[in-house]
Amino acid sequence: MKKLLLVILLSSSCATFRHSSIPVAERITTILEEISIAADTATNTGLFTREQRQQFAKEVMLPAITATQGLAGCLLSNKCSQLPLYLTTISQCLLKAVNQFASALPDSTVKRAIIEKSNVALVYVNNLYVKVGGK
Amino acid sequence: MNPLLLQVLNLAVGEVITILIRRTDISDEDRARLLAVQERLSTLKDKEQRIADGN
Repeated sequence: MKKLLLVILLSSSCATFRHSSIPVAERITTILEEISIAADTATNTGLFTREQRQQFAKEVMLPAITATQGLAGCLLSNKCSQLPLYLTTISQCLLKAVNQFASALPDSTVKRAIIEKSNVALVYVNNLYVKVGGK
Repeated sequence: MNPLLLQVLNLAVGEVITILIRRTDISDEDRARLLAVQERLSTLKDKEQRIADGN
């Protein structure tokens, strides 16, 4: 009976966790779309060279998108064991966007946009990380 | 143990398992939202992949 109660509690908290995590996955996706547009603007206005934009796609956008796809897949399948790994990857990509790419740009709307959006996404990712039991 | 009590317990466990299955099953709305997220990410990934490939 105790085991059954434990299973009920765990499955119930998992379902609640999933429901409350979906808006986070949506917001991270929106922010990644916005960062991508900001990077395009930086390229079109000459702040990023083509090579820098290419590097940004390879080192920031693609790994962050793949990890966010993993996050959405976890929530869809209710298999949460890989969640901390995906969240860590998203965090690292966002930090790279700020520290390696945006910081090299001259002060501009685009630079501020990339930094602000990345920081907002980092807060969402960190909050979710705490929820799944990370420290 | 009293057979009647056992029967009641069995029924209670059955009910609990039904509730459990309902709780762990994803709702249609949540599934649709997650599929929409995956669709958007897939579009964004195609775009960034083209840029990464230099196209």
